[in-house]
Amino acid sequence: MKYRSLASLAAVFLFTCSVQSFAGTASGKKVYQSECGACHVPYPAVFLSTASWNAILDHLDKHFGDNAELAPGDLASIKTFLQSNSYDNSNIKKRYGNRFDTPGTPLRVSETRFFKAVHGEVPERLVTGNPKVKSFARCGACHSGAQQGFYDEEGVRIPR
Amino acid sequence: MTKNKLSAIARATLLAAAFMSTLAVVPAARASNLDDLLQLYQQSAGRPFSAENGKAFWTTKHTPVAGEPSRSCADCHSANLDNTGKHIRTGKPIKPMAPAVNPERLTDTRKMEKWLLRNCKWVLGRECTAQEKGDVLTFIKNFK
Repeated sequence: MKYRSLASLAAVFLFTCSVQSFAGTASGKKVYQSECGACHVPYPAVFLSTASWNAILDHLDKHFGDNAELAPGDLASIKTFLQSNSYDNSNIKKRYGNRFDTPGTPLRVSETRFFKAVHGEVPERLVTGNPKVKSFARCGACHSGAQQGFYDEEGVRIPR
Repeated sequence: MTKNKLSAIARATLLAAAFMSTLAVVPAARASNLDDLLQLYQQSAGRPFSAENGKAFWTTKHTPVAGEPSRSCADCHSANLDNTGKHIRTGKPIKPMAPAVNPERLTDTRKMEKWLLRNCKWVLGRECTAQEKGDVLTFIKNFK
């Protein structure tokens, strides 16, 4: 069945992400988590392509309707961290080629091919129609380990 | 040593000194705590800072984007700084601003400068003046 195969792919994907070491950007990771994670879940770098991260970082003064400008030094280290750990540079990309490539340059994780594949079964009423969740952008509302970067299925609790 | 050699050394020394002095000037004055920051702002502000004016500024509505609802600091942070605020757009809870309730506030000048930049641009559509920033910080600092 389609969803089962996607689910197992998802498991492989997330496992690959978790074992992947963050190449030489330890301080960039820290700055990313503290600066970006101050307002929202620090979305794992692997969830978006380098082009998407660049598009986001180049317009932080207009960041989904808010101003999220960073000090130049912080911006530079966050950029390096996100680029070197993006989907393009991930093990999943190396292993599966273009299997999970998303056309264009989406600015939202929820618009990526992989996200749609693994959330296809989740009815809207449980998310956008659920006052305790509200939006697919709020990963932590259902994924209990989101703040720490864990998105495995066992950690999912959809609030009712 | 010849006279020429000596003047060459002198020139090199002067050049080096000039170079070092440019390096020394580069890092702008940085404030390490709230009082330093207020002093820094005061240098470019016309009047002494006033908690009264800061309070008025806090609730003043601005319309940075034509056609969108107006915004004020208090819209997200609440007019009563003891209260937890709520971002009018994202719904994100914002911890109280009053240092008496939330001791973390006004302890990190980097954070203060960062958020003053972001939030002034978002609420007013421009950076705040040193006077405005000083007034607001004074208002928050003395909030009871």
